[in-house]
Amino acid sequence: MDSLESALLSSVLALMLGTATALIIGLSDVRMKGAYTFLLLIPMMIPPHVTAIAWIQALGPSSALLQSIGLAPDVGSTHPLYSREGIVLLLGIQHAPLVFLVVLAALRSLPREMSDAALVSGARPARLLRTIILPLLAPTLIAGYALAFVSALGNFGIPALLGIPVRYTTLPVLIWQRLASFGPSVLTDMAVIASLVAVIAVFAVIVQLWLSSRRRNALIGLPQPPLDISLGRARPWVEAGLMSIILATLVLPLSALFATALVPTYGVPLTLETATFENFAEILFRQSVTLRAFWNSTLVAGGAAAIIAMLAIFVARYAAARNRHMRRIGGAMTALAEMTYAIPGLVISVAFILAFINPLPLLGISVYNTLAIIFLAYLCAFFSIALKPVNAAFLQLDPALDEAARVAGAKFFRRMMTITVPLVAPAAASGAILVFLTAYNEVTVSALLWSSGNETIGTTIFNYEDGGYTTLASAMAAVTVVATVFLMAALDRLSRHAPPGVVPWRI
Amino acid sequence: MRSGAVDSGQGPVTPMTRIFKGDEGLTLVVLSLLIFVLFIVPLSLLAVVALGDGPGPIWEALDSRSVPRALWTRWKALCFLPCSP
Repeated sequence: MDSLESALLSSVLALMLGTATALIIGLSDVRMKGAYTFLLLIPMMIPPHVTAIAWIQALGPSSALLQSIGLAPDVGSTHPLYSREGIVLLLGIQHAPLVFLVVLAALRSLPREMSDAALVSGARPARLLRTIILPLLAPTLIAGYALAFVSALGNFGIPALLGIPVRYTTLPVLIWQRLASFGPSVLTDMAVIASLVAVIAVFAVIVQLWLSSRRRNALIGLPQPPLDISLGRARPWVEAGLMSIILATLVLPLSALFATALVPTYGVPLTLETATFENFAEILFRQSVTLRAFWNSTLVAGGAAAIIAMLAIFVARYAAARNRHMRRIGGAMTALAEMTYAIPGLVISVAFILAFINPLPLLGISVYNTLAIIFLAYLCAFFSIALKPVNAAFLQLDPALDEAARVAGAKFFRRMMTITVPLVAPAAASGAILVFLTAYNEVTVSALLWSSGNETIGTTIFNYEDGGYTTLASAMAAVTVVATVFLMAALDRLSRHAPPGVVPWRI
Repeated sequence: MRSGAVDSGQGPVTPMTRIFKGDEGLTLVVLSLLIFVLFIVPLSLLAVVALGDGPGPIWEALDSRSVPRALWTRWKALCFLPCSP
């Protein structure tokens, strides 16, 4: 019940926040739309457990940031985020960018005839929004809600860090607690809860896909430039509103995170005298666990990103094949990957525990309790992320090139290496970076699969925070945030050489 | 030009044999096996274990009980009882 409650309520918040920002960016004449879009999407790319840690430190009595400006709550007072409302708030903020992306994409493809007619007839922007745009967007809004709901349902980091202290237990947290409880029925218990989460998630995704297909049917005519309604004198105020959202959802929690990473002990106010880089030195040079975690995550996420990008090229190639049977098989693989992406990471990890708990048949090698099982689970969980941009690239590829090479006698692998791969490489590279970004500091998949010596960045941050080493957790989270923003910027530059739709925020 | 022209002289080609012919077909087989092991096996096992009395063959898992009833009984036992005050 806690799962459904938090997912349903937080999706409402995500829908309101994501739709409002998408309408402002997509329909008005605000300046620096690209920069706003990039900044609004950063919370989506930061892993949920890091978001939770940042917010805990932003608003708690021991907040280094609030203490330094004298606004910290009294010591001993209850942390406002350790509650149902806190979980709903953070899940809403975390998933608002998903709704933002879906609504922005829909606004880009809305038919303009009715809007233009209404504007010519003298309709005010508010009336245009109420009578034309929102009704046309209705299926998209429901689809966006379903997407936010599925993401909130499978979220582990936020309910684990905020919900466990107040016994607000969602299904992913219950799975995690069941694994820790041992006992003869632990696997069956986990499998039952995981199946339940998977069934709800898949159902929500089917609803979302059905509504998305209805939206596409509503399109008429050629794509046209989006509306650019002049805000007039209100523009500075609207821009200030957007900036406030960015300050509240991104700058405040991240400032608190960096402030905590810079103090010697949690609870000490950040001043010039107390500021220290000791926590960073500790995690980057001294602690063997963190060094191992950075190495493991880089290795597993990097390996998974490379292999997934390569596999995605082949699957997308078959999904776009001229041979009907090959196209069907490729299409089935794509559908399977899409469906699996909807299944929460913790459910995937339970499935992989069940599949690989025994040594591999014939080979007698066990991958359980090794990095290999995390690597395999990443391949399954994040395959769809790289497949989407590669599929988009294949749609723009002229099949005549491949046909010509085939007629000239070039074999399959030669055609792939000399024609197909060079043409879809930018999209595949973007997909690989997206996979790396997601896998590098995730905790949902590896929370059940890590073991001593096989820690990942996500599990180490989570364990530090859970064990009370807050400053070290903050320092490690701060490093991953910097790495995430750096990779997003690199991806943004790379996407200029790739077709539209390859990078989520370049619609 | 259709691929049949390139394949001429190699005997009759049916749609199914055409899929699994040559490097392209072999790659598709390998890819299908990989997808089967990575996606279908783990998720099927999850469903089997969830519906059965523990990790075991599917025919043991899907015994006389109806699937929705089995799921409901387990879910109720796991989720409702521990959460109630």
